[in-house]
Amino acid sequence: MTQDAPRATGAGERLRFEAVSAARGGRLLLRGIDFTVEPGEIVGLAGRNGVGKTTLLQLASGVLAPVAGRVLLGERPVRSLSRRALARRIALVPQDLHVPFPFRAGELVMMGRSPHQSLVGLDGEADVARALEALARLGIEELADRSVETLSGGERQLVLFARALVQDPAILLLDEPTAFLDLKHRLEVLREVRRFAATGRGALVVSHDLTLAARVCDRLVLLGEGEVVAVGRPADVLTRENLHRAFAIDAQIGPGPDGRLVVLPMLAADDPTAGPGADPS
Amino acid sequence: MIRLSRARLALVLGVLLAALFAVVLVALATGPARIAVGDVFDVVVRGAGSEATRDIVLGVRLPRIGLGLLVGAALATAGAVFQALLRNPLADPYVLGVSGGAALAGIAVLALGGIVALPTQSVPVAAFVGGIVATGLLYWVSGGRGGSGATGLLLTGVVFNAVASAGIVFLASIAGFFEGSRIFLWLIGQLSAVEIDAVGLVAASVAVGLVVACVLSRSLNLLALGDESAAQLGVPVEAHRRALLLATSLMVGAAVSVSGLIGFVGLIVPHALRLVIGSDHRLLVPATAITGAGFLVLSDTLARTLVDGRELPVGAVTALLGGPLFIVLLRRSQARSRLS
Amino acid sequence: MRPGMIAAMIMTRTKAGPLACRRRLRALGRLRRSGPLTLLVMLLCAASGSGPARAADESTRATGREASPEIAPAPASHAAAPPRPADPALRLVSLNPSLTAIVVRLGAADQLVGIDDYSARMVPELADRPRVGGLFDPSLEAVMALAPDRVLLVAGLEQEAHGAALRRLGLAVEVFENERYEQVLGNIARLGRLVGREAEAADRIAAIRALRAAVERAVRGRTAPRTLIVIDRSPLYLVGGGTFLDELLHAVGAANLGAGVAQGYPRGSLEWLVAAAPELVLDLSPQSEAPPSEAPQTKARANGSEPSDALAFWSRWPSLPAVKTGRVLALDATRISLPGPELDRALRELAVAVHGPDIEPAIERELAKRGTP
Repeated sequence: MTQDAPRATGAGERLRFEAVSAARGGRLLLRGIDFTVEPGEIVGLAGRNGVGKTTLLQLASGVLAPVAGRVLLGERPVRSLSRRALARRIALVPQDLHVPFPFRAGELVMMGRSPHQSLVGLDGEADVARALEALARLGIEELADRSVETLSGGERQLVLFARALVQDPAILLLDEPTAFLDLKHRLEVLREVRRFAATGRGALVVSHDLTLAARVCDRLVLLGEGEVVAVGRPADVLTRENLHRAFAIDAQIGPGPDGRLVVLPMLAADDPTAGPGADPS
Repeated sequence: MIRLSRARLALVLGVLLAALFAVVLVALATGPARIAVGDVFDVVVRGAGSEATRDIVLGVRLPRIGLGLLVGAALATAGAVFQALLRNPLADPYVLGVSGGAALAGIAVLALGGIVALPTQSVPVAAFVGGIVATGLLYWVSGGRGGSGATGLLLTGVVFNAVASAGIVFLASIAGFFEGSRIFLWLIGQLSAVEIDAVGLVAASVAVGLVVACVLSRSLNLLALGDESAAQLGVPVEAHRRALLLATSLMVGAAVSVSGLIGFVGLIVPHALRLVIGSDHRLLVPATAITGAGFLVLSDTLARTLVDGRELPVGAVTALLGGPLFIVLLRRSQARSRLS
Repeated sequence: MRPGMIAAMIMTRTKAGPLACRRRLRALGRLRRSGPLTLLVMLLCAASGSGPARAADESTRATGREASPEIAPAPASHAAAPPRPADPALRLVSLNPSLTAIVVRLGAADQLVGIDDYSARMVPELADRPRVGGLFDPSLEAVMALAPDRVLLVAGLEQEAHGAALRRLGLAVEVFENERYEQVLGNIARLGRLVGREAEAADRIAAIRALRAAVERAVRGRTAPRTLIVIDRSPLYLVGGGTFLDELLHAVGAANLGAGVAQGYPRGSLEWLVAAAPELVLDLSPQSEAPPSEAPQTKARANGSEPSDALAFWSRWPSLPAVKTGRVLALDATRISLPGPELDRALRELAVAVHGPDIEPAIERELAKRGTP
């Protein structure tokens, strides 16, 4: 029943945006986007709300066509691949998912196997083993038989992440994968993304938490006003000027206790959001 | 973890088929003409028994049961498919007005057929086209993505049904035919029609629809998560949705052309089954077809025996069962949408 | 589906060219054999109650103008006095085909200034008369515009309400009942008085009574087959008890199995029908129409020898005694089931259907005996 054939292209595929422009509702949202997710690399994507981060992931997953430029997986435009072929190579973890029926979490995870299964197929042993493994790695085995409707936002996010893992893609797209997660699960998810990249596969992660992004990502793409403001190593991208251009905020950036980059955003130099408790004196 | 193995599929469908078999036996043994169960058995199993008993069991009850199986399977499966495609557990071909569209087109052909001679087979074909048009309109109104809220969808269905009923009454009065009893036959569905010329065509349509729905049942799982999720999980969304909608309209058109408007079967059956066997459409779709068939046969058995020697329309029975359930579901979905 | 009827509806509303004329004639020819409107007429009859109260206030209904003098005060003479023969020029609007048929048969067709759609279909020679709508939906305005002296209608659910509305508008409404045999004869007499043709009415009634008596004597001693009259197959409607057709069946020496189901015209169960094992099935349903080539008038008489698709249909249940003996007959509903002026014809055709063509000479003999006492 299960087609557990090795991925033809497997690890080591490059996701490349070439001068990509995209429109939403007749409005040009992204202009001339140019960057690459190399195999084995985690690329962070940051920018204001509505700047087009999710749209960029839609371009990458082929559900949206660019109005100009190309989105390439290896040498082929993603839109030229069949849905099924693409789903075997690119998986997306959405921010959240409304499920109108009481699917069980385990069933939702198993759906990640569907691009590898034949059209009319049941769940083979290998598929189930993969799903159980993904659940176990995220420490959510006990959710397997719960109805998705009863899960919290964070639990649902973990389940969707597990689904993307069992999809066994060459590229993982994550849309704010940690938004609803507690601190422990946040770290566990990022650890799994790191482990995924360690097998020579690329990941593109949308995140608002710049400190976390700086810690996990090999490179960052900073979007502002529909264009790439900066691309590069986190230390090079996360500068006060860049953050001001991208977010219209001021920020303090410096090394944290462990020597890694910490980003402290504020509206202005004399930050009115800071309460008295924030004053160390 | 609960998984859909071959054994589980076989177990669930096996149990349901056994229950369906039992329902058919009960229906065969029940009726206004009191025939002993043993005699019914003799007729069915050994082909023995008096000629009159054979006529009643095989000539009256069996064709009607066959019709009930076809119509019930078609309507219930159509309900499950619509629910997944529209991502709305309240969807049902009757509630959405798809049945109404099919009935209107079927009656239009009946009316027209009096002027230009049309073969009777054109009635199910017209009903199919009417179902397609209604489905297409429904998608168009709901913004094409199937994502519109329950209220918008239900309102659309209400309007479709109002237009369809008005159109049916209008056609019936200008054509001047099937006053009273015949229009009743279409508006409150029943299985008592004894003159069906196109039964082969109807059976074939339902079979095609069921096969398509079963083959694409994995895609239904993914489509139920939304078009974008489905696409990202490898479903050719447009192609599969089009195939499913065509297959569903085909089934509904076929069912309506022989039974009129029987409501709520597509609502009750998938809903009840989801509570018991879960939401995986690979299991739910075939289970819904079997259970829908049994449910309608059982409802019709009630309809033809509840009042001695008289026939009640089975559509009234299903509406009496389904209406309250619909209200409960609607209330629950309202409560849920208020929460989120 | 009634092809002829729909065609007729369309044709009668167009200016008839030669081609249209021919098609129209053909449509009307087919129309004669179609039965649903009679089914409807009968269903309407069946729907009406027949309590004593109805008969009691009959006279006030007939003179309903008095009920609402403020709307349209009518000349007292007109409203209070029963119509006299000296007043032959009453303008009539009939809302029921059976009443229309009686008026026409009595030779007073000229007095009908307006008819309902169904009457127009039943009585083709009136096709050019102003229409006032259908049985269910007569247009009050159209009736008013014709300024009739009397509106004729049959008591029934819908008609009752229309009658009341017409009376409120100041029209004189005559309410009839035609559920039973004697009521139909009474209607002939009453309409005869109304149109000033009492002699013709008396003749008609006498002819019907004479024929009934002759038929009853002619069939005496013959076995009464267990009979069912099917009005419509799908959905299945039967002739039940307490109806004029039940009485006619009884008169021609047949046992009406339908009387055991219910009064009126009950919706039947196919299973019950098969279990009831009728020896004779008289199929009046429109589906039993033969191909339109034969002359419809001969259809009933030729039945039994002529291959009928009614027999083919009912042969699906070969255990039916009627099927075994080939006694499934398609009868022309309009000739049998209209509670109108031709009950003698209906009796004669039913007698032939029940006992075969050789009953006719017997009936003639009985008629002759009575004629020369």
